[in-house]
Amino acid sequence: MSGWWSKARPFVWALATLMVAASLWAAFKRAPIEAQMGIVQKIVYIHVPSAIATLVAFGLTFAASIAYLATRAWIWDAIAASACEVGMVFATIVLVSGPLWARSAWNTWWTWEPRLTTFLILWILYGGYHVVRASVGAGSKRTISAVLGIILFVNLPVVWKSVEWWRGSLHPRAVTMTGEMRQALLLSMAAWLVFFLAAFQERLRLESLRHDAEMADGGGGPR
Amino acid sequence: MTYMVTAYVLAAVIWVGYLLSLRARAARLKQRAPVEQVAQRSPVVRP
Repeated sequence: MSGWWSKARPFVWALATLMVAASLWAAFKRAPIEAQMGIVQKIVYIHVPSAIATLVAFGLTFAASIAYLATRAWIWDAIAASACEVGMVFATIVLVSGPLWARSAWNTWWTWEPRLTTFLILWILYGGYHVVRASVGAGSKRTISAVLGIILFVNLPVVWKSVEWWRGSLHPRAVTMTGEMRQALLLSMAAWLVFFLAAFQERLRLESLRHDAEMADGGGGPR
Repeated sequence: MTYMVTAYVLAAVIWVGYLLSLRARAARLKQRAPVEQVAQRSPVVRP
């Protein structure tokens, strides 16, 4: 990994920690308690930013997968795999926080409505990406992962548009927030995107170490 | 209140667990790489 990237790590972590702390302060101290749902609505400040970060992460996997197939440079495969793994963590948080909110708001832990169903499918399929990656041999691992990273991207617009394409969605088509609630949500989105960047660079460092170890082993397959 | 606290606590647990796993994996790889690099660079010379 290049020097500036390694040097930036502590600064990105410091910024991410500060921004997440500020977003929690804004969510719990500044933003008012929602009139209908009460305090449980505060879950929105972790649920929605995690969902956005998931989509950004899987979008990055898609772009890096295309770049890998075009260039065959190992770094693009490393970027795709790293973004996908961090994206899975965010997706898991969405799937954990969602039912807790739903239990209070809709009086059920889970319902097979379009957004929940498509997001669960997304989580399972991207989980499959890691299973396949761990299963195939070193020679074809990167190519198969890249092809999967491109194919799985089809799910993202389906999740995004699911509330419009299918009836019976409990998720609102659009949310209008104003004032301090909106500011807190926007700050939370920015904070968790910076946190994504911090976790992503940490994961990418791991791929770099693995690549160094493979090279030391004597070549270690494709570039 | 309980659901909200549970959501935030679980999110924190997931992140801490994941970041610790990254650290452990990095430590394992760091331990492995130098040994192999040293072994490759300095072959045993027998008299």
